Amino acid sequence: MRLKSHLKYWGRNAFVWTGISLVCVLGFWIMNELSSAKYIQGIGLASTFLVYLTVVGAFVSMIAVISTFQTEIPRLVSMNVTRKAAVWGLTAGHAATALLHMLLGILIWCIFGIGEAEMVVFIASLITSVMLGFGGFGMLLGASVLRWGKIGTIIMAAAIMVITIGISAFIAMGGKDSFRGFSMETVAELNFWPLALAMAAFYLLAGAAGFMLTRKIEVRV
Amino acid sequence: MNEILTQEKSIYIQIKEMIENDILRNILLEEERVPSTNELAKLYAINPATAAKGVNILVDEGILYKKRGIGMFVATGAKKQIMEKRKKNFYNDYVKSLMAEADSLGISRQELIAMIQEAENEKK
Amino acid sequence: MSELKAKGITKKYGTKEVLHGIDLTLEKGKIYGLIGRNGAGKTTLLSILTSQNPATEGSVTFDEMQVWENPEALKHLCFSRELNQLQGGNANAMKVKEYLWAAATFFPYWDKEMAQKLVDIFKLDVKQKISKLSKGMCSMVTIIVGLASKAEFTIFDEPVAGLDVVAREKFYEILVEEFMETGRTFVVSTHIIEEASDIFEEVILLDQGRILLKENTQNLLERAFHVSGHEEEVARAVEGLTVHHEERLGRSRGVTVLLEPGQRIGTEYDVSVQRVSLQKLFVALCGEE
Repeated sequence: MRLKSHLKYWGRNAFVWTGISLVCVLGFWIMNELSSAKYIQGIGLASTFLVYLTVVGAFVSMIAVISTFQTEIPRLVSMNVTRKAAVWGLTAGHAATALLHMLLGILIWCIFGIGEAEMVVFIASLITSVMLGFGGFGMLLGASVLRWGKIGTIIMAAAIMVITIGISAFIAMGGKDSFRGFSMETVAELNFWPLALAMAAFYLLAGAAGFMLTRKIEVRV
Repeated sequence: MNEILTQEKSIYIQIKEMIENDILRNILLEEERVPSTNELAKLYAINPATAAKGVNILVDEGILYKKRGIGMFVATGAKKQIMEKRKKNFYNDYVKSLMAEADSLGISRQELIAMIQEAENEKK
Repeated sequence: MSELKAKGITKKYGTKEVLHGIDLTLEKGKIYGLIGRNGAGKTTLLSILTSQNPATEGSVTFDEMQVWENPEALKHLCFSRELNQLQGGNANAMKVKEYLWAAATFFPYWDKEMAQKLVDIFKLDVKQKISKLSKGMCSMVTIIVGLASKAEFTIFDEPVAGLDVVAREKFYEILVEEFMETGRTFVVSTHIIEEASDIFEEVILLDQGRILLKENTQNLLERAFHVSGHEEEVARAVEGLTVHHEERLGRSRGVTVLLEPGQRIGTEYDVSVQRVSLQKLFVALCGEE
């Protein structure tokens, strides 16, 4: 396995997807600047950004991973990359994307927030959990599509619908509001690390499952 | 050398004959270098192995010889050799088939000889 | 000497068997032509040879190494096939130059200069999105990938589909030149048989999932003949021979025969005996249902 090639390829991918998220966040910031001060400055604004980044990260995780599974894995196999290397490349690549998002989140907090250690830890764990969780989910779906074709696509579409409904419901039921009133203390009390670890384990298992599902796929025209 | 390949004969035989023709026409002189198999392959858009097959027959017959590291050359006396070989083949390739065709058309031997004489007269 | 060997390759889709126990050895330093009707199994076989597709039974080895999922073997191979233009999502937005970048990243012996030279020769716009390419330009991309990969064994699946005749001739010319310079093995599967036949040292004929023949092209054509004349004379001339693809018009009859060692056509009878082109031979052998 030529490590350098994989680093180059997946590294580039990670930066591209993070760039997309960055553009979304910038867009959100511009929109926020243009509208009247809807959000509380200082802590509130940073938290809002964070929520936004996390949601974007979630979507990016799903979309990036699924589309990569569908299109790039077959293409890589057609270029003589083994299926094993391709799937694990994707797994590592998305983890890198999650890492970059995490750094982006920390950066945002440092710019708009107060930059205390607890906050940084909180951000890191939150983003990690979300992106690895959704990423793992995306891998399972993406691998299903590759393996089972049309049936897999149906499962995928259904799953995405459920998730979208779930998130919308959560936000609608005032989930967002609950973030607004966050004070430093309440936030510091939250500990996402157990969740992050659980998601990381889930992510790795999803990667393994992804490989198991796509071990013998055919690259078709 | 720049004739077009036909389907009538194997390509390597056509290559061989084209080189022979060029020797007869003084396009290729004795002790001169013959195009390499790669050059021939490129010129005719054929597989080099095919070109090599034709050239090797000429080497076996002594019409061409190989100078190590330089290429293929026309052997001395090659022109005469080709002429004699073709004269021998003339009998089989042309004369016999002429007579067979004449037979199938019902042309007698005397008529045939008369035709040859007529053609000769026409030339003059 | 390097060999790409397929042994007992069978491929089934459900209950349908599309390749039946194929044995095939490809040697280094030859240009092979693979011809066969649509559905004969050409692409399936070539995919299996290069780990793009798993065989149901049998094995593929390169230099005695298993090919399947083996980077050591795969680095010497390249299977260049039609680009899938219809993939949704991310792929649709991919540009030619990104595709070539991916190829350059993963093919260990990729020749950047050669790729650029070919892009210039074919006047390809690398900023074009793959989904927007014409069929001819798609073929050009696959040709560039196959050639610039500099893989020891390079397989082209229908490389000239969509190319006009001038571009096709250019391809054959570039292919033979590359072959002469590097001695790489090339396998070209094509439907446009006649114009390609001169560059194939050996031709492999695949018919309904089986290899009908694999032979030096010149040798094959030297034992293939078209015999025609009065139906009675033809019958006598080809007695004992396997006859393919009969044509009849009134009392006139024409057949194609492929002579086995020791066989001959009865030329003492009043028949015309002509050589056959590779294309006509192929149709004669594989044309009937």
